[in-house]
Amino acid sequence: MFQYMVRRLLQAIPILIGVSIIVFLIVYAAPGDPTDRFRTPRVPPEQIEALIRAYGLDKPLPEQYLAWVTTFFQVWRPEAWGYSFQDGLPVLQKVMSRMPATFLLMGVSLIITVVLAIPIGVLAAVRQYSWTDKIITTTATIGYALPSFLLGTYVLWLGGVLLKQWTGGAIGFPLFGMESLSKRGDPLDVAWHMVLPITALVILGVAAWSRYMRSSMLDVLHQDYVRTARAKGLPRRKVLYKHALRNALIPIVTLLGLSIPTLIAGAAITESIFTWPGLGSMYIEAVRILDYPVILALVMLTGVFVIMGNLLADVMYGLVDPRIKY
Amino acid sequence: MPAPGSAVAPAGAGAPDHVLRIEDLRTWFDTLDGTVKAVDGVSFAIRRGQTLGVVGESGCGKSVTALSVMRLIERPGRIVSGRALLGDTDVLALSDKEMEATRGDRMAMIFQEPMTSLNPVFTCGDQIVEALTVHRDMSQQEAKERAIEVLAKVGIPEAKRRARQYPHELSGGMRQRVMIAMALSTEPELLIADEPTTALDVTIQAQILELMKGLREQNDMAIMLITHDLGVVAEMADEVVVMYGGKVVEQADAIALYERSHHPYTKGLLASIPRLGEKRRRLDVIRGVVPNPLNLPSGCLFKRRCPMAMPVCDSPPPVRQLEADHISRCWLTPDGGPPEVGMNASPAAAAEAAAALSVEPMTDPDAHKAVTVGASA
Amino acid sequence: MSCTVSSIRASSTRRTIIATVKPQDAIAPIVAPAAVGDTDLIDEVDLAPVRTYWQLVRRRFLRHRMAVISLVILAVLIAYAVLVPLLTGDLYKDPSLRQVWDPPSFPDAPLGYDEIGQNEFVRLAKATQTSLMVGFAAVLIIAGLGSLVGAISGYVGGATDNILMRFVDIVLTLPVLFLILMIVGFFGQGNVWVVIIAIGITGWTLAARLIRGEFLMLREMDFVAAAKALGAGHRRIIFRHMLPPATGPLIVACAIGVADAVVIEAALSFLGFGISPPEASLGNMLTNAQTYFVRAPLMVIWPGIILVLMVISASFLGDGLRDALDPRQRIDVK
Repeated sequence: MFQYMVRRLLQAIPILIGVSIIVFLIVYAAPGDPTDRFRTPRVPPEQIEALIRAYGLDKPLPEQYLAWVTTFFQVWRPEAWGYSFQDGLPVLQKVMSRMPATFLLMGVSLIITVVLAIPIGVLAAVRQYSWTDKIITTTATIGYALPSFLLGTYVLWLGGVLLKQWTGGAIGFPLFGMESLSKRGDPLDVAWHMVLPITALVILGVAAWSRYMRSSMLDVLHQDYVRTARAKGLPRRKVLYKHALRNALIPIVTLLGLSIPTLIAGAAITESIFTWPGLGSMYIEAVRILDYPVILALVMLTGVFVIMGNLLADVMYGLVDPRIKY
Repeated sequence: MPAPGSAVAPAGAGAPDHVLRIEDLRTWFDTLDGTVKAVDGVSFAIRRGQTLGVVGESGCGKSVTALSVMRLIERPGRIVSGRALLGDTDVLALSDKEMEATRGDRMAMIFQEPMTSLNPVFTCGDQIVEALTVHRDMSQQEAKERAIEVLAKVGIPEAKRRARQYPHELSGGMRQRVMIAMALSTEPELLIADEPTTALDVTIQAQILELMKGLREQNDMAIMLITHDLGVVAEMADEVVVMYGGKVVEQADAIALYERSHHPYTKGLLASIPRLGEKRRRLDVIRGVVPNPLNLPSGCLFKRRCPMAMPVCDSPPPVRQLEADHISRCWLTPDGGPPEVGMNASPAAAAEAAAALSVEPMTDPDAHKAVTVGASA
Repeated sequence: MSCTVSSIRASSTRRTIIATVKPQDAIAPIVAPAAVGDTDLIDEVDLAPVRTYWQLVRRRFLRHRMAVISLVILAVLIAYAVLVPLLTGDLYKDPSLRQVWDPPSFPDAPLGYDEIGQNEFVRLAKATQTSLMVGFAAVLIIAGLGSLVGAISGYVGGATDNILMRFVDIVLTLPVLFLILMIVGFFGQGNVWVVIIAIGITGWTLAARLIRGEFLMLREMDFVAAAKALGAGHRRIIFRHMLPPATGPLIVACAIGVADAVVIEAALSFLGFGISPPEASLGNMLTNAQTYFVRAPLMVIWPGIILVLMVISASFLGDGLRDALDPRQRIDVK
């Protein structure tokens, strides 16, 4: 197993390099350059030149790339990811400060999603062709098809505006942000702010995951070994939960691993709509104002997480399915 | 001349000897395109310690019969009517819970595909232990020991080590042995084997058959052996049931079947077996294909492929008693001649004659003692 | 029939029987076959009516009620998106101070007027048209690029396949939304062509994987070997023999792909990166509507309904197409 992990990590390196090259090239090719914001009439050209030399912007492309990519992984140095164009702060620091918000939001929504989707998917599979199944499948298909920004907008509208109207101002979820100014650091307050975005995320998530669970369970239920289990005279429950479910969960576990990257970048749009101060909304803002260092850093970070997620998924698959030998 | 229905001794009389008795079983499948009558009026019986071979082409209903007896038929299939008496319990009438207790305990079933019939995420030993702990009052430890015992009994070397292995670590033949071990662990009265050797190499097949023979002698266990392979039937069966189109077309003692088969279908099957050391230019085949189950012909289901077909075959043929333990569903007389009522009989006359000639297919193995042999109209 | 085993052994009575029993005497029919017309060999299978592949596809498709309904809905939407702008020209971006927030009036303004007096109904049609155009165009790129890469990869195999798939892996490692935002943000905020290209070059990977998979499977099939044996060149084999059967899953992917592309475009416009006013897009109509939640809640609903209808219909359509083009054994319950 250890050897396999090492092998996979080594395989991942060229991909990582490829990713970094592509990203760097796109950013490099973008119009404008880092010194643009300094190019006001009051700044003399020589100073611009000096700045260019200081930033290393006059060096050839490969050199600039190497300089960047080698520094990127030295995360113990605060200047490793450069400085934001927006406010001059170290990108590393900015990213780290907003990471917990995203983790919190995505983590909680993932847990709730999985806890809800598994029983729903199993139910639909066990009662295939029945009305229960049809309702679940149709609802899931509709939910799956809803664009996230649409759902987010409506959830915000329903929970933030309409609810207030209907209850005469008594109950209403906050329209933006993660915490109220008056209650900083209060976990209950944060939780209250989380309700709406998590609702939106969970609806989308359950729609997708329950479909996967149902399809996986259906596959398993038609397998020969389930028939053998029934032929052995095992009670229905046991056949279902011990023999079938155990096998049906294997691909789900893999999916969980693959969902790790979404903990970082999964909900940029939702974060934006609910003004949740996470990495996703940070990214969108950065693109809006062309804050290149932040953009670069976030995309690379996501790439790293995706690779790690893939690896984790493979490892978990190997742990859960005895047929896999590494 | 046996009157219709009188050949059957009432249920229970003289019956302590049989393990399974199927009476007029019908299992139908409701599909979008129509109702498929996979099993349509099948009756036969198996005695203790006896091996009954059930043969027929793919799609003739033999597997469905077995699954019906085990009550493993799922939607859209349903058991429409009939009884299946295990001893004197009608398993078709049991509640789900009672059936679960019977399945795997008093009767067990093994399937065709050993490669996929075992759960890949549990060890072989665990799967046998599971069967034991569900049906017997045993501790985990006792069950584990018994599992290893039974694995050794089916001829798996290093049983203790193998018990801790997963199915994918064993070969096909070994997996089938594990399946057999699992089935036998509870010492069932009846073992249903659905094409147990079809997916295996010929040499492994021979081993498995030897194993089954040995075990059957040890345990005095009845076996219902389903197969399309007449060679396997010759090896193993005491009595043979031939099925076609969801019905029994011939049933006989094994030797009688091979030496004195009556039904043209059986004859066709036997004739199509290639024999070693024989110089033939062409093989004898049964021409045509199995009828579309959604569009079955009227009367005899075999008539379109039968070299002996006559106009009277448009009416359902009688089930004739040819000799002790030998019945055939055909219009031809016991010596192969045209029917007593004439081969161009009108449907009405044919129906009447069929009703008069028919015996209930033997469900009571001692029934033949009450019947006069070789009767004719 | 494996009777070889039985024939070899010699011990038990039963086995001897098999070995010694002579083949049954030739079964002599009682009546000459000519006299019994209706027992002629009628093969039931022959009685089934002959249907072409496409007839079968159509029949299977029509069985899916939801897919057919979806097709109808999509047709209506497309008609809406094509006809209304055709008839009204530039009306959609024609503000009119006199008609700000005017209520609906039939027949010329069934949905009323928005905050700067534009005709909501007409604007919605134009927005749908734009979104659909983007969707179709992007899918064209995806299908074209994806098929090309996938076909080459699957057909040639070997090192080429490896390299191409590594490349696909790299592209897939990057989050799609982030990439698109980057490209659009850097190179053309508000430019519809940049949006189309961005969606296209980030989305082709799935089509490539799909086609590659199909090609890998088809490559082993006998009809390809037969074509080769007849002397067909590579190009002919790929385009004439392998591509047609591979298009099945591709068509399904395209149907769903159009919907996805429309959603992405809408999301981009919603965030302000895509198409901006006065041009109309389902996305930017929603952004607008956000500001006027309380004043005119309906404005939020209409673009949303169109979008959701489009996506759900495409989804069911995709399901129906998938089943129609590649059905698996299914026992359908009454």
